[in-house]
Amino acid sequence: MAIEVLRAGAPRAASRRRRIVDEHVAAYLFLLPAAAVILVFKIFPAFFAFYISLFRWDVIQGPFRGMDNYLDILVANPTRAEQFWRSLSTTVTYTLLTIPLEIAIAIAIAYLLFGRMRGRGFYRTLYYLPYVTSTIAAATAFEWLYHPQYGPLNDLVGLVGVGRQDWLGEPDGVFAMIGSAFGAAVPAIAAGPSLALVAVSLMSIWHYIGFQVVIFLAGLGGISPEYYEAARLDGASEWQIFRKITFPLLSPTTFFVFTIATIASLRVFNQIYVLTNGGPLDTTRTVTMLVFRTFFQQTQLGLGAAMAFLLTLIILAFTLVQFRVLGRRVFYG
Amino acid sequence: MRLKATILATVMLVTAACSAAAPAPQQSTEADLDITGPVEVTLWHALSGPQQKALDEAVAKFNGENGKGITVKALNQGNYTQLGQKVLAAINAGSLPDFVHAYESNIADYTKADVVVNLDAYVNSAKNGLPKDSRDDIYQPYYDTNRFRQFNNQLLSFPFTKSMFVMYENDDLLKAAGVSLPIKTWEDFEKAIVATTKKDASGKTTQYGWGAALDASNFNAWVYSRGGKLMSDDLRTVEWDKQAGLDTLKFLDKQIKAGTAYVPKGFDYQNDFAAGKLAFFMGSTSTRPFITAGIPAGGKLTWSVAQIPQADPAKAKTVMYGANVGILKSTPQKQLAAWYFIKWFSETAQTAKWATTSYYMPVRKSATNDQTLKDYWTQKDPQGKQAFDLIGTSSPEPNVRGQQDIRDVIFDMLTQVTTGKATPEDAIKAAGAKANQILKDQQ
Repeated sequence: MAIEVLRAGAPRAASRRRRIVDEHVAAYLFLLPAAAVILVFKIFPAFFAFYISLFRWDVIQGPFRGMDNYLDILVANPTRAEQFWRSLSTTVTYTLLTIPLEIAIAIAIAYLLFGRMRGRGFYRTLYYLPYVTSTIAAATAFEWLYHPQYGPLNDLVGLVGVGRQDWLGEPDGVFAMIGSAFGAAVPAIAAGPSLALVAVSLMSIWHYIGFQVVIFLAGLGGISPEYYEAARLDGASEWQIFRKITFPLLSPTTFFVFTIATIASLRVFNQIYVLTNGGPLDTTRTVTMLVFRTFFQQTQLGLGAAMAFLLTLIILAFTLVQFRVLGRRVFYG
Repeated sequence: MRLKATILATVMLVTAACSAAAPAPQQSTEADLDITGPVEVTLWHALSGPQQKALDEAVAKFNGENGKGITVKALNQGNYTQLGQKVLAAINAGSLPDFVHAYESNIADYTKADVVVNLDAYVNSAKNGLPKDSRDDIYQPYYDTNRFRQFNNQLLSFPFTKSMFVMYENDDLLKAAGVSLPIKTWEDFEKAIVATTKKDASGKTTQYGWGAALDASNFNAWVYSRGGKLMSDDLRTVEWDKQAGLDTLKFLDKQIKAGTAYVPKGFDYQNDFAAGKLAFFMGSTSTRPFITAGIPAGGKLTWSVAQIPQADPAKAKTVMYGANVGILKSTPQKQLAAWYFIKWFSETAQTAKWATTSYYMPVRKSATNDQTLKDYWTQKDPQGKQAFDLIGTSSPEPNVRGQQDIRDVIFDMLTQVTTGKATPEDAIKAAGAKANQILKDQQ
C-alpha cells in the first residue's frame, strides 16, 4: 500500500518540480529585459569607468597606472589634489545649504497641504510643477531672475534697501558681504559660501521641494488619524501634535527623503552648468563639474574617471553613515 | 558567490573585448588619387540656425555639381562643446566622421589620438591641390593658425568659420562727445571712453564708455595689441604674464575703478550698444548681425567696426577667432572626397557667398572682387567690409594642448582683477604659474 502511494506520488512530485522550474524560468525571462538594460547602461559603464581610471587615458588609452590616478587626485599632484578637495568642500557646502532647508520647507508645506483647505489639489499641483520642469529650462529662467542689471530679484531686494547684487558672478562669501555691509571685517575662514553658490542653492531648493512635498504627503497619509483624535481629546495643541506625533511618525519618510536628497545634492550638475559653469573663481565648481572639465575639456579621461569613481565611493560612504547613524533613530511605529 | 564571480568575469570580459575590438583608424596620406566611384563623406559641425542653413545650401550645391560622385552629409552635433565630446567618444569607439569642424585645441587633442590627416600633401598635390596663386590668395594667418608646431608644423586643419577680434564704435555717441576718429592707440581710447562716460550728480555712471567683456581671447588680443607674445617659442611657457599682459590688467583695473568701463554679463554689451547706451565694446566680427538685430524698432544707430587700440599702430595686431575643419583618417577615397569639399568651399565664389550668408570672414583676398559680396557690403553690411580690411592684422592664438584649460586660468585672472580680489601684479603672477603648470602636465 505504502509502495503504491509512493509510486502514485512520484509523478506528482516530478510534475511539481517541473512547474517550479518553469516558473523560475519564466520569472527570469521576465526579469531579463530589465536586467539587460541595467547591465548594459548601468553596470557595464560603471565597470568601464573604473577600467579607464586605471590608465593614463589622455584622449586615447595609454599606459596602465594602477591607482596612480587616484593618488594624484587625493595627494600626489598638488594642483589636482587642491582642485579635488576644494570641489569636494564646495559639494558638501552645497549639500548643507540645500538639504536642511529643502526638508524643513517641504515638511511645512506638506503639513499645510495635508489639512483641509480650499484649493488643496491646485496647490499640490503648483508645488509639484518646479520638479517636473526641466532643470535646464528652470536654470535658464533663474539666470534671468538673477541678472544683475535686468533681473527682478535685484528690484525686489532693492525694496528693503539692499543694493544691486551680482548674484551669479560674486565670488565673495555671504557672511563677509553681510559683515562688510555693517562695517565689520569677517576673517577669510568665516567668509561663508560665495553668493553665487547660495544663489544656485536657492534655485535647487525651489526645484526639488515639489518632489519632497509629494513624498511627505504620502508619509502623512500613512499616520493613523486615531493618534490625532486621541491627542485632541487629551487637549494637545497643534504644535504638540506635530512635535509629538506627526514628526516622529514621519521619520521613516524623512529618512528616505534625506537619503535620496543627499545623493542628488552630491551629484548636482545641471543647474550649476547653466547658471555659473563652475565660476566665479571656481566657487561653484562641485566634484561633478570638476569631473566634466577634466574629462571633456582637459581630455584627461583616466583622471576624470578616477574622480567620478571617488565621488561614487564618497556617496556610498555618506549613505552608509546615514543608515548607521540615523537609520537607528527612525521610528517605524 | 560563484554566480557573482561569473557575472563579474563576464562583465570584465565584455569590457576587455569592447576595448580590444575598437578598430584603429586606417592611415593614408594619398593625395594624388582619382575619385573612382560614388563616395559619401560625413561632416560633423557645430553650426545652427541661419549658419547651418547656409552650410546646408552650400553642401547641396557641392553635391549637385562636383561631378565626381561625392556626397557630403553635414550633420550638426550640438554646440562646440558637445561636438568635441562626441568626437572624443567616436575616437575611443573607433567610429569617426570623415571630417570635423573644430577649434585648434580640439584638433591638437585629436592629433594626440593619431586620427587627423596631414593636409600638406593635399594642399600641395599637383593633381588635387591648390595652385600657387590660389594658395597665396588665402590669408597667411589662416595657414598659421592651422599649422601645429607641436606636431612637426603640419597643416592639420583648414579655415572654415573664421572671424576676428575688433572694436565696435557707436559713432553717434563719439560725435556727440567730440571724439575724433580714428582711435589708434590705447591713450586715444582712454580719452574717448572718459569723454563718452556720463555720470549723475552722485558720481554714479549712467552711461559707460566701454563694455569690457571678459574672455581669454579678448585678453590675448589686448596682449598682442601691446606688442606682447602669448607663448614662448618652445611652447613650454606662456608669455602673456609679462609686461604687455600686466599693462592690460592695469588698464582694465583702472577703467573699472574709474567707472568708465563695466564688465557686462553674458551678451549685455551687445544690447547696450545696439540700444545706443554704450560707446565701445570689443568682440568678434560675428557679432555684427546681433547689433543690427538689437537696434530697437524705430531706432537708429550709426556704428562702425575698427581696429582695436594698439601700442604701435604701424604694427597692428589682433586675435583671429573661429573654428576650422580637419579631415580624420579613413580611406584614401574618403579623405580625398573630404578634401575636395574643403577646397571647393574655400574657392572665391563660395567663400564670398559664405561671408554673405554666415557673417564669417571670407578666407581669400580675392573675395573683395566678388560682385555678390561687394553688393552685400554696400547694401547690407558696410561693417563687414571694415572688418574684412583688418584680416591681415589678425593672428592666431596658441593651438597647443592645454590651451583650453589655460583659457580658464586667464578668465579667472581677469575676474580676480575686475572684482578687486587681487592686484594686477598678484593675479598675473599666480595665473602665469598655473598656466605653465598646465603646459608642463600636457607634455
